[in-house]
Parts: sequence; C-alpha cells; structure tokens
Amino acid sequence: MGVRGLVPFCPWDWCLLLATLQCCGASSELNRSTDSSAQRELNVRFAAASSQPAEAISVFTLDYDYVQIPYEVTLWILLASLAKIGFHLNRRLPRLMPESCLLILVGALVGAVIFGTDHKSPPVMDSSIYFLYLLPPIVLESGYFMPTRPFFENLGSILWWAGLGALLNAFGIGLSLYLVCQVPAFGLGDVNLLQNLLFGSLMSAVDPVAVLAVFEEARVNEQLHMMIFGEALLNDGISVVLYNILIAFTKMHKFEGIEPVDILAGCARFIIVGCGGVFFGVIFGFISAFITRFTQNISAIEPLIVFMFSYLSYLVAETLYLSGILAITACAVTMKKYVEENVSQTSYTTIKYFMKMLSSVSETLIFIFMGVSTIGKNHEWNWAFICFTLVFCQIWRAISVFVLFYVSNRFRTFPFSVKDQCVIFYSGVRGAGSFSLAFLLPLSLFPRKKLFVTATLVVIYFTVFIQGITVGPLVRYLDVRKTNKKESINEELHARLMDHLKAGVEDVCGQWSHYQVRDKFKKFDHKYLRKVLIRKNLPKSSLVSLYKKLEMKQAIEMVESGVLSSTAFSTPHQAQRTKETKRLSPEDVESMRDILTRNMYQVRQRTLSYNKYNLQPQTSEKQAKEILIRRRNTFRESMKKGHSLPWGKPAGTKNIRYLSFPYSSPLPAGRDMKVAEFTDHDGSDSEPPPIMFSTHSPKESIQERRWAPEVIPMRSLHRAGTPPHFGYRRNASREEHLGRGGRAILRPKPLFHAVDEEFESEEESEEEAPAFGSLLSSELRPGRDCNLSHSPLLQRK
Amino acid sequence: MKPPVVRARPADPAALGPAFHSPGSRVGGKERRGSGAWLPAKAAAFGPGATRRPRLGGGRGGRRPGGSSAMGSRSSHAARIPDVDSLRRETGFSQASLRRLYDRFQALDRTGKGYLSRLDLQQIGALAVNPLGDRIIDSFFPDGSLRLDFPGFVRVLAHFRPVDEEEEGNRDPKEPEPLNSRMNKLRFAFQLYDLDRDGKISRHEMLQALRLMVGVQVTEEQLESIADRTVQEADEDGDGAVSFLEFAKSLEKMNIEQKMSIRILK
Repeated sequence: MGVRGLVPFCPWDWCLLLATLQCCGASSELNRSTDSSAQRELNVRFAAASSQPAEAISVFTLDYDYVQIPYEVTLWILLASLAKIGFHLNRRLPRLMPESCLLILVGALVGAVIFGTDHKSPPVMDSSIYFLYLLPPIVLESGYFMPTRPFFENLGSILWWAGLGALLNAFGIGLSLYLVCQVPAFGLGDVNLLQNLLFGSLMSAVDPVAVLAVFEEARVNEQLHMMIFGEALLNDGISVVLYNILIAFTKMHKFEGIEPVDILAGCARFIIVGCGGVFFGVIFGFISAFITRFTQNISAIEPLIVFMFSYLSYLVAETLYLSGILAITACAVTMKKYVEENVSQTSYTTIKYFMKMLSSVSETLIFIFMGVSTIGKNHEWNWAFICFTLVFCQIWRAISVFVLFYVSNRFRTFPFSVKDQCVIFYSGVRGAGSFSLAFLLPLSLFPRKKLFVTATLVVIYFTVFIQGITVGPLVRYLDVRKTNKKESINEELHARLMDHLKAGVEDVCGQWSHYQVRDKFKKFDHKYLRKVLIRKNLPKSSLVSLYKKLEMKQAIEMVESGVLSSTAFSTPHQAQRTKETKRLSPEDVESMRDILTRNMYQVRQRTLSYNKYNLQPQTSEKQAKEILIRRRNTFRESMKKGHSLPWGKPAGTKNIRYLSFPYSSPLPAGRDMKVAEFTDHDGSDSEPPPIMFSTHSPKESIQERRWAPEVIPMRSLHRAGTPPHFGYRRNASREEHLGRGGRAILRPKPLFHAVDEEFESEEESEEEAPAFGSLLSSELRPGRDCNLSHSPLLQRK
Repeated sequence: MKPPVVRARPADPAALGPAFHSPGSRVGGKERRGSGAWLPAKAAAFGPGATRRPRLGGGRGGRRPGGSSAMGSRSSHAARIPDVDSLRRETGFSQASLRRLYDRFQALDRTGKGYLSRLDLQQIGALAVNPLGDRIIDSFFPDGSLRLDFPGFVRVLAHFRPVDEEEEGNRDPKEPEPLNSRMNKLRFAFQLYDLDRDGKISRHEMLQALRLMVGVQVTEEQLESIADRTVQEADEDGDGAVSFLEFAKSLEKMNIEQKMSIRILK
C-alpha cells in the first residue's frame, strides 16, 4: 500500500478500490459469522434428507460453505478487474509500471484482508490446479499472440538465447547458491545441491513480456521485441521441464544415490520431453486447423475447437510425461495461421478476446495466491540466502545475456547492439511462473520450502517493482532518437514521410530469408498444407484474407465518425485561404505539431504491439482499414471525375494546357489529390489530366476486384470501365478516345439505376455519383473529399 | 506481405550449357569478376534495350528431377542478371545483394514478362496499406514509363543502400556522387512531394502529402493551416514554395544517412 500511496491516483480509483475492499471485507465477515450457522444448517439439511419429515422450513437460510470457493474466487477476480479499470483510468500509470505491479498489490491486499480477518480456509493453489487449469491458458495466450513470421526468422537466436539462457541461469544460480550454502555462518548447511539447482531452475523462469507494455511506446526494434517475446514463450517450458526432472531426481535421491547414468538419462529425458511436446503440439495444431475447414455452417463452434484442441494437446503431452507447455505453444503457433483464415471474423475476435481473458484470469489468480502467501506467517527470512539470490539472479542474467549474445551475434546478419542487450538484461522480471513453482514444492522433500518461497517472493517483488518501473525510463534514455524532441514541423513531417518511404521500399525488396529451410517450408506449405487445411472457397493469398478481415460495417462506422468530426468545421472558401499568410503563435505551432504526431499514420510494423493483460484494438489494423477505405473513396472520386470530365467539360483551352503538362510527371498517388487539383484549376499550376483515369484504372480495377465482394457495383463498374491499356498514353489524340471512342468504353454499365445515356451537364454527372457508388460513395466519403467533390458545382455558381 | 508465388524456376545451371557452368566463379559473391566469356553474350542478348527478356530457352518448363538444388538455382540466377558489372559499379551493391534483388525482382514479376509493371508492385500487400504506397510505386517508374526493368529497379533501391564510411573516403571526387549519397537520398524523398517536378514543393503539394499521411480525424482546415505553416517554416526566399535547397536545409540536423538506409541492402 505504501507504493500505491506514492502514485497519484484520481478519485475514481479510490472509489473503486474502496468499493471492492468493502466487498471483500464483507465476504470474509460473512464467512466468519456464518461459520457456525452454516454448520447447523448443514445438519438440518442432512436431517431433512434422512427419513424424518422436515420439522420446520426455515424461511431464510444461509449456506456459505457451499459456495465459498467459487464465491471468493469470483470476488477476487472482480476486485482485480476493478483495480485494473482504475489503473487504466489513470492515463500515466500504465506507462509508469507494468500491470503485474497492480495485480501483485491487489493480491497483497486480499492477502492482508484474509490475514486480518483470520479467514480459516481460503482457497489455495495446489499442484494439479496450477498445472491443469492455471498454466495452460497463460501459455496458450503467449503462443497464440506470438508474431509467427519474425519468430521464425529469428528462430536460431531465440532458441539459442531462450534455451541456453534458461539452462545457464538455472545452473548458474543453483551452483553459486550451493557454494554460498557451504559457508557455515549462514546456517544453510542442510540445503543440498539438488535443492539449490531446483531453486535455480524455478528462478530462471522469467516473464519479460510483462514489462513489454511499459516501453512499448518507445518503439523497440523488431528483433528486440522478438527476443523478449521468444524468451517469455520458451523459457517457461524449459524451466518447467527442468523443474520436473529435478523433482524426480530429488525424489530418487531420497531413497538411493544418483548415478551418472541417471544424469545422462535426465539429459536425454530433457530433450525427449521437449521435442515430444512440440511434436504433439504440431499434430494437434494441424488437426484443429483441418477441422475448422469444415465449420462454415456452425461457426459458433469454431472457438471451441481451437481451445479444446489446444488443451487436448496439453493434456495428451502431460499424460505421456512430455512437456505440455511446449505442446500447447506449438499447437497455438501451428494452428493460428490456418485457423485465422478459416474461421469467421466474429470467431476470430472471440478467440482473441477469450484467450486474453482466460490468461489474465489465470494470472490474476496466481498473483492473488501470491499475495495471500506473502502476508502470513509462513516465512523464513535468511538474509544471506535472500540477498545472494537477488544478486546471483542479476549476475547470471547479465552473464548469460552478454555471453550468449556475443556468440549469437557472430552468426547474425544484424547483430544486437549493446543497448539491446542491456534492455534484455534489464527485462528479466520474474513473475507468476517462478512463484507457482516455488509454492508447489513438495514440503516432504524440501524442509526449507518456506525459505525458498520467501526468497522467490523477494526476487519477484524486487524485479517487478524496481526493474519494472525503471525499465521504461531506461529504454527511453537509451533510445537516442527521442533525445532531440524539439523538431520543426518540417522535420516531423519529412521524417515520417521517409519512414513510410523506407518501409515501402523495404516491402518492395521483400524480406530476405536467411534460411533455406524457411523457403522450403514455404513451398511445402503452399503446395500441400494450405490446400489441405484451408477452405476451398477462400482466395489463396494472405493479402486477400486481410481484406476479408476488414469488416465493412466497422469501416463504415469509422469513416462516418470521421465525416462527422470533420464536417463540424466548415471549410473556408478557396479564395480566402490561399492568400492568408497570417503569423502563427508558438502555441499554434505547438498544437500543430501535436496534431501531426498524434494523427500521422504510423509506419507499419510486423510485430504488433502487445500487451499481456489487454487486447488493444490494433492501431495498425485500424490504420490499414482507414488507408484502404480512403484509397477506395478517392478512387471513386477519380472515377467520377473521369466521367464528368469528358462529357461535362468542353474540351478547349484546358486540354491544350494539359498537353503541355509533362507526361513524365509521376502519376499522383493519392486520389484525393486529384479531386483537390480539380478544385484548384483556377490557379496556375495543375490541371487534372483526364488521362489519370485511364492510367489509373487498369491497375485499380484489379485491386478493386480483389476487394471484390463488398462493393459489387464498383467492381463491375471497373470491369466495364477498363479502357484499353496502352495505346493512347502518349497519344496526342487521346481526346478522341476519351471523348468519343472512350465514351462507350468508359460509360459504366447501368447497374442498379438506369443511367441516362446522355450526360450533358456536370450536375447530372454529379447526381449520378450515388448511383454507381452505391451507398458507399455518398456515405463513406470522408468529409474533406465530400466538400471537395462538389466543388465543380461551387465554382460554376 | 504476400508470399512469393511458387513457380518453376529454370532448372539448373547445367541447363545453360557448359560455358555458363563454372561453379567457382559464382558461389562467392564477393570476388571480383571480370567479364567472363559468358557475359558479353548475356549483354548482347539481354542488354538494356531489350524490353522482353527471354527466359533461357525452355528452362522454364519444369524442374528437373534432382537437378534443382537450392544452390544450383541460386547461382543460375546470378548468371542471368544482365550487366552485372556495370550495375555493381553504378549502384555499389555487392554481387550477393544483386543476386537477391534479382530473385526478388523475379518473384515480383508474376507472369514472367521480364519487367515489372505498376500492377506487380501494387500486389505487394504491405504497400497497399502504406499511405504513400502509390507515390512510392510511382517513384519506381520515372518519366511515366510503364515498365520497370531490373537495372531501373536496382537503381531506385540503390538510393537506400547504407552509406559506407570507407567507401565514402576512397571515393574519387571526379566521379559523380553515388546514388546513396545524402543529397541523392534527400532528392528521392523530395520528389515524393514534388509531383509536378518543378523543383519546388508548393503549398498545394505539401497539402496533398499531408492529406495522405494524416488520419481522417484531422479536419481539412487544420491540415491547411499545417501545410501553410510547414511551407512558411522552410520557405526562405518567400516564394511560397519549398525548393530543394530549402528542403535540404530544413532537414540538415537529421541523420538522413540512417533514416533513408535499409540495412538489408548492404
């Protein structure tokens, strides 16, 4: 609570917290007071159940014991959720500290309430609950949200770092703590090597993703993101496997000595357990992908298939003593790609949200168990052990990061900089995983379990609070780009343009794969897997599936809101604004820069922003929609213009001017722009060349065709409107093409409305717009296009 | 991103006949190679003037069993790049990079016509959602041409090659600036704004660029004032437009070399 007090909270947070606190308190009060009455009630019930008729039917009875565990668990989750709401109502807080801080605090609060009210039997986590119910959702979530492609591109480094890093940490911490235990002064003589190693293995389960959200906005580079993500993903699996093997050894050790053969067997087992898990995961992934191929008529079942098969893979692997964690991870990774293309949009959303929800519930519960066990009497505080644990955790993480990356950098095309390595070192936050493993140590084998739990808790608190809160500033400090914040508007704009340009050219260059294996797999995937696993009626490319995912309704809503906000301001007339060169105050400039920074499109990223506890609407996805829709709209504008020009405008001087217009000019990209030019043609510069239409439409028509099903009228329009391709590009007599010969070609086929054969005036062609644009062109158009598109009319008047 | 289409590659370097199959010369990308016996023939067949590049007689038909090992198909690409040496000199790309770019060029050229059209570039998914996608594509097609051949493709990409310090030091001052110099990089960015190619970014062009890059939430009015302000800020001679020099000056503090370099284009 002390930390909480330091942080500025808005009143709302307090309200929420108080409310939840009261709920919680009330429940335990209730619990205490009803202990005896419930007992009596039960007796009455049993009595009633036996042969005697009920003597008296009590009007109001209370049976708390019956519901106690789910009741309390529900309250905990609610409490955590309310706390989260409060956390996110405050804008600054989420960027200051990882959300696990909050969860731990809530856990501590619950623990305090339980301790304070002397609650007799709070629900406790045991081994089977953790491994069967709490762990799988967490792992599934991180596996499912992993960006597949960058992961496999960096697979070598990730395996090297996550695998060896975990082992190095486990053995390093274990062995060095063992040495410490040999010092008689510390009173740790009875902690033997195996126990130390086991402790080391559970300490090596780091949870770096928890802090990812903290420095997300600092725009970590993709590779760094992937290393952190990959570590989080694989690290759990590896440390759990190690943990289980060491537990087995410890059990064995109780009865007999361990021989070298056993150690070798243990190593072999480590590999078998890992590979076997992955194998089962992949198999189940393919099965579920295959099944979702046939669910088009019963799409409500799709999420179920995904979840059940993932869980099944986990269970099957566990049955065979293989690593369930790796199995479920592999399953999620395998099926994701295919399932996402197969299932409907709504199922896709459901899967995403449900997965996030389950994992965050699991994690909340673990943190609450942690809080409950933090505040209590079951601690053993040994300064030496705890301090050395803390120190060794940091030292070994540093060693493993710098050594392993030093080696892997030699094989990488793009090595990790020292800064990256520092960030990776610093993100070694321990989380729910370590605690659970420590908490679940069997007391029979580990007489000093309390010591281990205490040390683990200290490490978790230290890393989550101190490192978690300081990692954001650290990243920002290391990130030199952020230092020169004062940029002029020009710089701001040009920098973003260059970023987009660079990203675009990168896309043109494509990603050069470093691995022959990946190429091979890609071919195999295309040739066989996709044919088997993905529905027939789907277009083959992932691009199309992107378009498919762009739901029309959402899109319309989005653009409409854009229209509303922008039509609230009336656009001043052309003449007024061009001549105005008023001086702007610094505040205006500041606000402009602000507008620019907030509203300029972000450069595309392949690793989507990831928050462990929340599923934000991906800005990139929204942005992609917006850009696509704007392109479509502006294209529609250009279509209209293409129609209105040849018929509406008398082909006179303007066309001659147009001829002088250099053909070499690159075709203007934004179709908005042409509309804008159109409004501008009283000015000196550019005349909208009608040929724009013809040069644009061949390519556009194909794009439209790919966007196909939503805009059928448009599509057929383009088919109809596709003019002959070459030929008249440099043809001086294109006027004829457009004016006469082109007329027949360019004329849209009458679609829904019978379009009059003769368009004489602009007004008519303007009115025609809604006809072939269907509802979209009239409703979807962003405000500024809306204003501009009517400008020919305005100018005539 | 769309995965490249799988298509039959010319089977094997052996198919090119013994003259083209000299393994040692092709595997190491770094070694400097004079124009070997095979090169003039290549240049004659697929010189820059040739619009349509024939696909090595019949090799396209199908892969031969066992013949198309990964390395084999790789080195055969190197053999088919026209004018390797002059391209290397002009663009500064290493042979390995050129080879990879040639692979990419062919992957983009879906129908195997030997050049790229706008349509080919528009098929790149990520470009479709790039707000400047169309302008970027246009910058690959200078002078309104409809076809992009491989030298042109490489020449555009050469602007994005990272600047090499040593190379910069040894450069002969008499030679023209390399394509990836700071000024050329800036010029490339500048021509994304300057649509009418008059060497100036007018207020209007600035506004168009802003429209493309800013989300729909910002009103037209705001955009206009931002465009005004941007031009004003950079405009030194008061002609209401930003010339290239003014553009370069407004960015003089920025690390263009880093900002406009793509690491993989070493």
